[in-house]
Amino acid sequence: MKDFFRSKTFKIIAVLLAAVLAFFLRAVYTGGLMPALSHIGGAIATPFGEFFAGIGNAVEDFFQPVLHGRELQQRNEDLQRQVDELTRRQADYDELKNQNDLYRRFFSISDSNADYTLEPATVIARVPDDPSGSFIINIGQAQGIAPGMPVITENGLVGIIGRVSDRYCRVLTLMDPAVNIGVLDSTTLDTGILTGDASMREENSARLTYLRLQSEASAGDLVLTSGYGEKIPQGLTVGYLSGVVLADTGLTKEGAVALSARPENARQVFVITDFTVTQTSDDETPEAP
Amino acid sequence: MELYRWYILKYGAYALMALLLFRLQSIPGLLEIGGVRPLPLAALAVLVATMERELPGVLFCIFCGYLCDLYTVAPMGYYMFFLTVLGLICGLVIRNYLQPSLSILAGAVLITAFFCRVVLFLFRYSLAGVAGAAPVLLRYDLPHAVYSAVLAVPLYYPVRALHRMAEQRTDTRL
Repeated sequence: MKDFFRSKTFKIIAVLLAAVLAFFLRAVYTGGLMPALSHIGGAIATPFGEFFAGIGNAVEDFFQPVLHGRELQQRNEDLQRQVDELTRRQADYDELKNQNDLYRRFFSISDSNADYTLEPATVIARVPDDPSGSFIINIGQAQGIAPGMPVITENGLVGIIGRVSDRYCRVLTLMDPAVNIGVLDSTTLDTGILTGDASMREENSARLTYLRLQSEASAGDLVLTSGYGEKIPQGLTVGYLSGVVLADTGLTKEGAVALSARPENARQVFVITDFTVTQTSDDETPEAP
Repeated sequence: MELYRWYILKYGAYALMALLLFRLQSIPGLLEIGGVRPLPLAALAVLVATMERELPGVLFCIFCGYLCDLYTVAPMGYYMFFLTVLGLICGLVIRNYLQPSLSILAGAVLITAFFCRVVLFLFRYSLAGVAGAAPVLLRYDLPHAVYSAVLAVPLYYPVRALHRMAEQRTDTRL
């Protein structure tokens, strides 16, 4: 082995390793991808990725009932309980909505509507070394995608954009510890911060922190985005609160949120590239008595 | 001329295997077992680095590392660097002090994959101050490394066959 360390081959390898290390350190320092190399790789890999993702989905669909029968049955029972609970709430909601509409007309309260610009995308790959389930989608800088943009499925918010290349980007899920999002409890309107927790990834849950001490938030409450930070619009469904406890500090409360959107089921997603909140007032405003 | 033809054929076949594994490891749900996804490219990189000469082995590890880096959570260049260093060390140690048997190579893949995970874990969780992350190391990272090492078994035979075939046909070590 001594001969090897004195050889010309070793010197060439040492130079190569130094170059790769410099390359790696630059990526760490700048916090991004190497533009040229990642763009080249993405340009080649992304079209094939869409094709192979289709094959993967077909295989998964085929084996799903065989491999996850018990899990599906359990989920079905959970969903049935949720449907029963929501049906009960729907009745309350209809009554409250009618009452609310009446008050809204009566006091000339304006309505706010969020207008989203959506960019559809296909999940082309799973990140093989990430326990929080991040994945790759087939749009990038070329489609106006930037880090931090929210990614949604039909079930609600699934994550935010991480690193972006020219033709693909990585989506960090809500279970990633690097993701922090402002949320609110739709029942009590208490705000908090949703942050990923590595120990909760198996339950598809995330931690809700910084709830005020007097908060009456409880299990079953719907959790929505609060719009804090201006990158993520208000009102996107995040999940349901599964419990609230006093935080270790004793100054705030915290809880767990069962996330509505499951990253492993995501195949087609939408990236909210832009959004505006418009105020619309009702035309029919009755006169106050 | 025959020598170069075999040289190109062998490394061309390795490169095709790497591209195939790159696609397989990132297809949603395909190789996933219990939420754990393997990194077969790391296994291939270590196998080739151990069986072939140092310089081609290092170049192949850089190539495999680049493919891993395209779809990973680590910064670009992470696998390029660590797979290359670990592949080179595995190659030097196994060729000089051990026998490149299947069990030893699988062990080398296990150590390589786990080492990469541990370093990534340190930066993503421990140094970032993420609480309660320790179970991830046992529940995800260790199974990930074991799964990658298991995949070294089916990869070992084609790599060894290609290596031996090229050696026999050219009567030299390519």
